[in-house]
Amino acid sequence: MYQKTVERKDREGNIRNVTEYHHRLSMVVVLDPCNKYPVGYAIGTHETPALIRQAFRNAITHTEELFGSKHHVYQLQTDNYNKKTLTPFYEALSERYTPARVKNAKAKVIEPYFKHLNKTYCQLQPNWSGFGMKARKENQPNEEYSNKIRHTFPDEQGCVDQIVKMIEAERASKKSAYVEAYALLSDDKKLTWSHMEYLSHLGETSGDTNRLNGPGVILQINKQKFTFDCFDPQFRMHRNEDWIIKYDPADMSQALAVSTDGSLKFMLTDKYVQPMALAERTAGDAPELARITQHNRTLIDDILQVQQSDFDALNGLMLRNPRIEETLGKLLIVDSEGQHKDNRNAARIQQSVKVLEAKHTRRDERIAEKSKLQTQQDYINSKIDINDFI
Amino acid sequence: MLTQDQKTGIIEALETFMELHNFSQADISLKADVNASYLIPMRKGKSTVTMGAKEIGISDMYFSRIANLIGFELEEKLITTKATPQLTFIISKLKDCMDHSEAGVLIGQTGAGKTFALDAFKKKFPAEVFSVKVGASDNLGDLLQKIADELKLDYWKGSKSVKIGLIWRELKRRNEKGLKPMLVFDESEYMKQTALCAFKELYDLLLNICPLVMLGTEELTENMTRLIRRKKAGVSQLMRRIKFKTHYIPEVDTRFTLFLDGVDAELKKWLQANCANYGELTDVLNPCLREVKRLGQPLTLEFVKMVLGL
Repeated sequence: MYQKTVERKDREGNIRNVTEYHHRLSMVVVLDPCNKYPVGYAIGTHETPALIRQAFRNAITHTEELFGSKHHVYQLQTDNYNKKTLTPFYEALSERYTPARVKNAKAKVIEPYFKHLNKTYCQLQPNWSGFGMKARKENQPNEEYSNKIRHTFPDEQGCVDQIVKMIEAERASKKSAYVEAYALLSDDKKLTWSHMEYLSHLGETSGDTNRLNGPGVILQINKQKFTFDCFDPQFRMHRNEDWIIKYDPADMSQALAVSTDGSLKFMLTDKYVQPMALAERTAGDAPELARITQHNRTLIDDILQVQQSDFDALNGLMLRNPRIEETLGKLLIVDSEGQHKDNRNAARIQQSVKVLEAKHTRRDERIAEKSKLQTQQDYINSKIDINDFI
Repeated sequence: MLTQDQKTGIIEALETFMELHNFSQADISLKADVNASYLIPMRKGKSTVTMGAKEIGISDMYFSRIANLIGFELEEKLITTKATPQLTFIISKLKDCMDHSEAGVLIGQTGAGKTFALDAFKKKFPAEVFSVKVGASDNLGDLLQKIADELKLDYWKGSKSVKIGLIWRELKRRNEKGLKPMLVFDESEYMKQTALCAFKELYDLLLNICPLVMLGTEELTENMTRLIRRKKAGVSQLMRRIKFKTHYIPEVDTRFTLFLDGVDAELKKWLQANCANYGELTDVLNPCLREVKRLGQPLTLEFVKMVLGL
């Protein structure tokens, strides 16, 4: 349990600060049933899809700490919480997703594991909130004593720190056995992910799309702005694209830009902010600046190549159509009526007029033909009564 | 097998026909190729004929021949006749030719309804309009024989020139009787040089007696142009005679507005895309409408494809 001060209105309508001591935290744990190693976890006030995703992100980044690269899993089992929203996410995470049967808590290893955590770590804490409602009363904490020492309960962050310490202790006790077990795993079951794949499957999104601006791609999360840049020249070819930015809230140094149709993906890096004053420069500033300079030079080379290829393609056209190079094509010089484009486009308009005239002629011919046929038909109808023959 | 009602209907229609066109019993016997000894009891409403002591049934064949002659429909028409621009054009030109005793050449695309229009015209003037269908393998002799069969000539002997004379004599005789005989050559694009020359000869002989009309596709004029280029005797003379008597039938509008009113939109679109003329349209619709009538199913594109095995 942890203490939390909330604002509450009294009977007179005045707002008062009241401290409550009964609040509890929720933890989502990603467990490897091999030796019940807590691969990932996330702590929050209550269970949410976002908290579950956070736990899985923690699991995958932890596999990188353990094995050197990010891993996803061959098989995944979960409870059925919010399954409509989360099933696609679970399926992306695993080769085979096998959820537990509904209302069958024993199908999962996680329930006994929570009991193990409760008994091994939590029960030793003075702010322990006890077992579930149906547990024997003599096994529950002494509520009188708990009430007496409630002022010593930590705040929310303190409680989070307590749980983190417990999980880290649990991990430390099982880590070596877990790593050994991993070494015995066949290679086809070791499923690794690049950082791009990790962000693609597990990255959070702001819900909005972003475009490449002058400073880079600016992502705003909870009123905090993050600026990303990309050193892939292809990224700048898609300046008009709306990008969905996928990021890991625990590591904002990199993000993934995905086009709205999912066809384009680029890794973005957090924009390096160069110090303004020379005195503030550090050892890493110069290489970062050199990297940008080199990138810009590459871009200039690319642009020159494009210009060259454009010239090669257009040179013949320009030679065949000298009017393009004429004075009015280059300079905006108006005539006495203030017109420039009419004179410049005279030849083109003349061509269009010809096309239009031909179109009108064809239309007139069609109308005349129709009229001729109708006249002929009327003439024939006046000569005979066709009903005499049919 | 004809029912008694159908037979009665044919005989009633025959009586009306004879009265309308002033046909004698002998004329009907000759034109329908039904022996008078059968025709007499048929007109009396009998289905048998007495041969000595025996009563022999009159075959349905004779009733069918009379039905064909008078244009009596033995089966219900699935597609009703519509006054298409092509039909009115052809009939008006044929009527002009008949009224003014002028030759004519009517050129139109295949399937435009040329033969259909000719049949309709012939039914209106059964005693005056005679038609022959030119075949791809017909030589001059065959063509003259077809004309003789159509005119029911009793005497038919001698050289080709003599036979042309016999045809002229028969048509002249009919003209003198106050009729307006008319000879129409259908599918005349198959006419070879000799047939074209015979046409020219008949044209000269029958001037002001019996107009000659050719119905065909553009291949006829192309053929004649080619023969003229090769300086084939007689063809350029014929061309001179018919040059300004050649009429081009209006092209078929493949939207078939007159025929497809009320037809399922999808089927309509398919028919418009796949049928190039009335002939093809009839070939598609006739079997399908027959099956619609038999099975009581709606006429849809799916149904049409099933019936046609597409």
